[in-house]
Amino acid sequence: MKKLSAFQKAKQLLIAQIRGQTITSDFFQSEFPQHYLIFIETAKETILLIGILWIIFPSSSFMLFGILSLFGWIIWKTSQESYLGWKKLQILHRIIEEERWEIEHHRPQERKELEAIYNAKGLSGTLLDDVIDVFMANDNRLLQIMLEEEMGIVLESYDHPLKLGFSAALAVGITTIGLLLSYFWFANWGIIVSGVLWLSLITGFSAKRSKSKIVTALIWQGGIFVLVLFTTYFFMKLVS
Amino acid sequence: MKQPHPFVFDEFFASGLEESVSPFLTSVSRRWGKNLSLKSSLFSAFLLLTSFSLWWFIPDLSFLLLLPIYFLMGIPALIKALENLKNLEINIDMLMTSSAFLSLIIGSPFEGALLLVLFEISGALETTVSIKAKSALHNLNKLSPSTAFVIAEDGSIHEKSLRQIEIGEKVLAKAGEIIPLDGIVTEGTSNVNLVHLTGESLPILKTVGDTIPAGALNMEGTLTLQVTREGSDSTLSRIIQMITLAHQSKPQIERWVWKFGKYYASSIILLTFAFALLLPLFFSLPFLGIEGSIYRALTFLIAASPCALVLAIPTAYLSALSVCANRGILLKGGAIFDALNQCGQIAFDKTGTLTKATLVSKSIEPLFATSFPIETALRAAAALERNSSHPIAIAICKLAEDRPLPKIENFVSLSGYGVEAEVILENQKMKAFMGLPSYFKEKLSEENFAFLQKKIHETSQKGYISSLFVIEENFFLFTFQDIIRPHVKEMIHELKEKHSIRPFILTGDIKPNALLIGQQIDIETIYADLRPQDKLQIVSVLSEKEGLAMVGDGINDAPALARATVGISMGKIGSATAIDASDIILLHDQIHQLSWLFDKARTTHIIVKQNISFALFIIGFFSIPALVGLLPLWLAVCLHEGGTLIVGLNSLRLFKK
Repeated sequence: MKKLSAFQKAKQLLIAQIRGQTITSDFFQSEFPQHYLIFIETAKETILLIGILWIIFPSSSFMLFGILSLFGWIIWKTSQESYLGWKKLQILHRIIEEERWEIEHHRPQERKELEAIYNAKGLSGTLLDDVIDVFMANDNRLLQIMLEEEMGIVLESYDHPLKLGFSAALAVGITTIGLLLSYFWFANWGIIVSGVLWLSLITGFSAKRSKSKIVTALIWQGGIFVLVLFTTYFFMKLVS
Repeated sequence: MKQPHPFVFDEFFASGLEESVSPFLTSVSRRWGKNLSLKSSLFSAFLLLTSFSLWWFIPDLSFLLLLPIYFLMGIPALIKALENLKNLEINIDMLMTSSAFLSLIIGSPFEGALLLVLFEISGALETTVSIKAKSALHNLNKLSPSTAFVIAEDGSIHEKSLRQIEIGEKVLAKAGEIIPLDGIVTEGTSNVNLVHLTGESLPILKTVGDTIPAGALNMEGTLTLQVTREGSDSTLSRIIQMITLAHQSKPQIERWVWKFGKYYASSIILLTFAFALLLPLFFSLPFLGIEGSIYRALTFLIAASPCALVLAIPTAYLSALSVCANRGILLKGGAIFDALNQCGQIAFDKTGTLTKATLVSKSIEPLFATSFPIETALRAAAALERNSSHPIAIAICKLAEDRPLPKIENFVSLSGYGVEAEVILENQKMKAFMGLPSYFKEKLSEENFAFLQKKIHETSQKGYISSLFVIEENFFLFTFQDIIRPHVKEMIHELKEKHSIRPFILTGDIKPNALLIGQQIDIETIYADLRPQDKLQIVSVLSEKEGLAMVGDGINDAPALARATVGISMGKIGSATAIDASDIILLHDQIHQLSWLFDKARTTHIIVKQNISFALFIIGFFSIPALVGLLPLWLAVCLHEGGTLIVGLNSLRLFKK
């Protein structure tokens, strides 16, 4: 077995953490359950899409093309979110299999990795040895610790891909129905007011859950939307 | 505060990384993944029915509803077909998938969707059943201990993984625990049960200096052992390695239907190519167009698609599996029915399989012309043994049930001999002893001791177990035997007469004990005094000549169970190693059901053959007319799906008990 220098050990640890974080980054930037996050982001994208369609299509055909386009959008978002969820789950399953193989076949190396991790946390000497012995005594415990400490992966924290897809579908459905109905009853003002209200609601909720400043979040999010919509509007004018 | 337990990954790995038990998903989320393939195929079937209903009213909507079917069912089938193609494997899966997509290309999307839905439903049903079987098995105990309590030099005790314990280290085994590693006793005395390791009926007394193999059950006292073999080299590990090798050398049980399916699929695909290329040469037909040879060849391919084979045959196996499960017989797959049909011989382990591994009192014989009442002797013996968990003690207490037991005083456990105490009978204290006759070697005359020895030898030659009880100067010989399970004799007769299966016994116990049992249940061929490797050797040799089923319960049976054509284990009394190594588990230890099981396997085989014959008849009868243009494609497919329904109903006959 090749003896690793301290630098090599640290490098391996960093790579493992980056791998873990790459898998988990989408879902651990906030403090939301995944399906909430997907609902919020999909709802925002749908508002943006409806806004762009509203700008592009003349008012006589907006409803028709709006509805037709959104059929495709709902299928896209539902399938894509589910597909990405399954892809991530596959990667996680592959990681756990690899880690299990390592524990079965390279136990001394796993011990050294654990020692490095807990040494970095401040443990040393006989205390470190005793702690490592306890972890190494139970394969299930060892596997869990390697996933959590080495990879930064938390167990039982992901939603099923179908649930994610369903959240996306729900977000598109609610947003579309709300905005199009507002347009149907109140024409342009309806869609502007309902769009702003819905965007503010979901942005505010998201900011509150993640304990960020609500006003800042609203302004930034609103600013991005205004930027996109007005850019589209002025480009339309240029082209036409 | 409740201590958090580490997550248990065993079920997840045992299931083959099933997402419904994924450790990454939240516990609520996992429900979304349960039986997913079955749910999606049933949803697709619903869409197909709706699409078909709408076809006459709103054709465009009808086509819209077909899209998700091709997406949900078609994509997995396409991926699987391309993987098969990459491995140059032509089978029914490829035939079905190519038929489904070709139907779409030639403008018959309904037929294609129907093929996909039926195909997926059959696969999903099989997957659902096999997942259920796997998870039921996972709930049993772990195969062997993975940790042990190590006594450090300073006397402290730490739990350590077996893989890290070295030779020379001291481990602790408490009462009721399985000995984790091979070792020599350095402290303590206890009875250890080796019935699952060697088949020996009675526990053996182990004391300082004795070796104990890993896997033995420590019954009463606490033992300290010095490890003599590391985990990977322990008795238990070597047995488990034997099981792995036995599994690898066992011929794969390929479902004969899939063998037939491969030939069928290859034939149909070749014929399709032949028709497409040769029809214009023999008949005045163009290659292209709706009357062209290519179109006709494709309709032939679609009409010849074996829906009946892919749906009705798995349903036959599934029906049989369900009926067996209702009777407490768990099979690890439908192919095992085929394997059972190949078996012309059956090997039984003795202790725990043919017998209940529970002793029952046979007789109480007074010795040396004593006049002491037998009834009083029994009550006194029961009083002496009432706190022991030894099988002999349990048998005595069971015999003395409902009898008032006298009080005892000054109870002493005589290491290596038995137990002694003063029994209070009619206000008198009487000294009593229960155990081995060797205790009296110095106390009796040579003549009397020789008589005692002779009596013990006679009983052991008959296959009985004996124990000496002495109260004051009155000697009694208690004899015991293992109880044969109910209806075993009748089952053996049925196997011989009805199924022409030759039974024999493979046991680690001594020959006289095995002969006694064999005589009682009419099994003449007996192999006794066998170690696990001996059982494996016999099963390997015999199963080369003819299919062999092996029935067992202990760890010592596990390699033979893994190697046999069909391994059958006892679910309640059986060790987890044996259960894991076997193909069939008798959940309630009802061994007398074996005759019924062989019957069921034969019936399943008959029904599968009927289904195939009928399906082939239908395919032949309708696909040739479709090829020559006498029958429209849609009619050919409908008739052939009707045939599928009939064979499906035929499969349901297997539900009949």
